[in-house]
Amino acid sequence: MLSVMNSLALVFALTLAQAPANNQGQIVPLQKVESGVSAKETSVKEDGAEAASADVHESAESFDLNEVINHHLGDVRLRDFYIMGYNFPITKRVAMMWVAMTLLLVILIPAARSISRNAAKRPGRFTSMIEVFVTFIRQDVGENTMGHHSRSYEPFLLTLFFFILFCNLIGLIPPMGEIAVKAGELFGYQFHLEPGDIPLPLKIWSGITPTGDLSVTATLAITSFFIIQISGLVYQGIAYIKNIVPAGIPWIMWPILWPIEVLGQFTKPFALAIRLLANMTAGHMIILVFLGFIFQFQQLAIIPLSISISVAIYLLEIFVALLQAYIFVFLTALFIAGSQHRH
Amino acid sequence: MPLLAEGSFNLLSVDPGLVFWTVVTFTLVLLVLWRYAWKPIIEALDARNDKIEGDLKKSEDLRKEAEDLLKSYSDKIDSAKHEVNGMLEKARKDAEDLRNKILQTAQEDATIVKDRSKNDIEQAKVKAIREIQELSVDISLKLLGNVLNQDVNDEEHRKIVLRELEKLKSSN
Repeated sequence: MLSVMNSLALVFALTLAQAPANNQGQIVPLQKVESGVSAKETSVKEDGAEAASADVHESAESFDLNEVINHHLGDVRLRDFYIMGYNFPITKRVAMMWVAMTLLLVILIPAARSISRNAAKRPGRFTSMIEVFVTFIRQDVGENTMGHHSRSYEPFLLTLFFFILFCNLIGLIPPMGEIAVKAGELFGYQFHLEPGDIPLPLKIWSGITPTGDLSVTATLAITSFFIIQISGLVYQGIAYIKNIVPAGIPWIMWPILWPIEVLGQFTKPFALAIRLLANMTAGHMIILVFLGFIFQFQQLAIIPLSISISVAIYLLEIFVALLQAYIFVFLTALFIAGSQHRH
Repeated sequence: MPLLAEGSFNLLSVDPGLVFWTVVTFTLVLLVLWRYAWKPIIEALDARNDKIEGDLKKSEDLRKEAEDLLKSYSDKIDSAKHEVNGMLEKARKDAEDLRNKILQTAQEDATIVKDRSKNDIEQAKVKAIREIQELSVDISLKLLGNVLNQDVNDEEHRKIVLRELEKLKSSN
């Protein structure tokens, strides 16, 4: 199943990467969306008459990796959303986050139902997979770091893990919206849109990675930060502020160490945010770069190399998606455990 | 196209709108999953763990009980074997004794019978010898009378002959 998705993703990455290269005047709505940066588009349009007679090599020069990366990794505003006069626009990432949320609810709630309905029974294949993850987070992440204190943090850790995992993984599934639009075009259906608007399927499933943006990872890291600090204050009381400095340090060192330790409290979530962001972006970028080679060099010989490396990176990304979700949650649990007791 | 003009990618830019929606979405997911997923799953898993633990304990107890039972049964069997062996031994000994006793009695009886018959034979022999003696005395007296032509059937003669016979016998 994954390999099928993988090949689909590659095919679509290829077709999309090609889009800026074959702009020869006839612009379908999708391509309008893609090359939404109007300056680029108009320049292609102006060149249209000359470009019509241009050879392949010249059109190859119009390939722009930056634009491809922008298209695949950049956020796009889909709709404005005003709350008390402030605009909180719904973007591609927000939409994909909601896709992740929907999947989480649709998968986990029925699983919970079926697990709790016959708790004594032997779990099925689907429920036991969920159980494996839940047990792993509870025992190897929670109890391993916090001991019996982990019980009250379990819902938070589980939600954090599954939320990040799903956000990571849906970024690996090919953009269903794009597939829908392409399929529609294939059967002669054109989306009638206002200029600059985006077809609905693309709005729903753009295939962007929600965790590939600092806003998302930083928000999650800040949530972890608050949980860590609050649990420190709850477990140690006001002494927590003093106990940030490890025990056994001579008093003379405190004026230096206390500010360092306080700073450390902020670098931890910062590292969490950057680690997740970088991991979820780097793989995508490498894939785009290697597939970009095909359009950059326009050589047949490069195709097997580009595709095989992209496939390898894609497979690695599946592992990284799991690993980063685990690392984020494990470190959060570790920091919570660290804040509970002086060490 | 003002909506699309922002489709650019900057790795380190923070979009307040995205932060807002992340907070909203994550909180929503946390609350809904907490109530409808984690709570039932954790309860079910804990219940199952407790049940498995209880079952294990129970089976351990049952095993111990069965072992005890087995031990008591094997003890019983051992003691029964012991008893049976004792009984067999006793029976064999009894039989041996009885045999010996019967044999002894039989032997004694046989000895008695033998002795008695020996006695009888001896008596019969003695009696027969005496009868022979008497008869021979009578015959010899009769013969003597015939020879002497006188009656020697006298009691006196008779005694003499018998005395002579006794002498003869003792000299033998």
